[in-house]
Amino acid sequence: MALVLECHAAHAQSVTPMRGAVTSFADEFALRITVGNPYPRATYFDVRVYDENFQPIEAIVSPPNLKMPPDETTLVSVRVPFNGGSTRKVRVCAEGMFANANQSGVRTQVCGRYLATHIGPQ
Amino acid sequence: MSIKFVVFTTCTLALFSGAEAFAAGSTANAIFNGQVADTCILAAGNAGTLASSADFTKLASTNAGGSQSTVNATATSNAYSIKTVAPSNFTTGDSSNVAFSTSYSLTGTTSAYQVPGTQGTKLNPGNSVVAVDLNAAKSSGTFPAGAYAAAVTVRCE
Repeated sequence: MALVLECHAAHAQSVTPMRGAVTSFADEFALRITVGNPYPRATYFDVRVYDENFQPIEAIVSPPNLKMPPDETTLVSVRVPFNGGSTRKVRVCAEGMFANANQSGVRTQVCGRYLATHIGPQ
Repeated sequence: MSIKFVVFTTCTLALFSGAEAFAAGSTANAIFNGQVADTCILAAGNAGTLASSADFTKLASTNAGGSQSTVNATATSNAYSIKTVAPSNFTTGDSSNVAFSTSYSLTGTTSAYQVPGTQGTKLNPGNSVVAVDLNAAKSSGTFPAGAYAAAVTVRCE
């Protein structure tokens, strides 16, 4: 008897995890997310960071731009300052732009939401 | 969500040449564990087409000759919502005095019809197709001749 079990990781323009809470003693906090490419071809994605009102905020994203092979995932690191606050809500979005020859198209945006709490001295 | 596979294997030893036999052998479980990420997945489908109204004051995918843009959305739980964000400008073409709006419909595991883009719709787990419409309206004047292009953001969060 032969038993074959194939296991496939989830591949997609996705952000995992899409919810999270972190605590940090430092003046900034760090997130590590996984971005995936669901397309059968190499595709470019940008990773951008927004506040709870979807305004872009200062953050260090590494790498901020991804050219991903088909069905691959990449780890992305994000560092965000607290800016003096005790908590901060942020969104981290993987964004892809898909357009036809005349630049009409859609921008796909998958966003995770995270809450960071500063437990060190203010 | 966690999926566990359990395969039961049974080994029986039997002695056929004599009177003695072992009725039962040893058993062991070969255990498999798997994990499905809790996430939302978007994959762009077809690009849409804008068509002008007869009086050239509107460019819309809902006008005759226009077509929707599509995006495939997959949710692995019911924690995520879809919405669309209208562009503020054309990427190609004159955007002066133009107001943009979007709407979308969902088919598949989630159904919705002509929802205003600013309104989110919770996705049911599974695959859905998001069909997006874009409407660009001149508040004064008409669209001059030329090429126009715009991109709508489809957001899952």
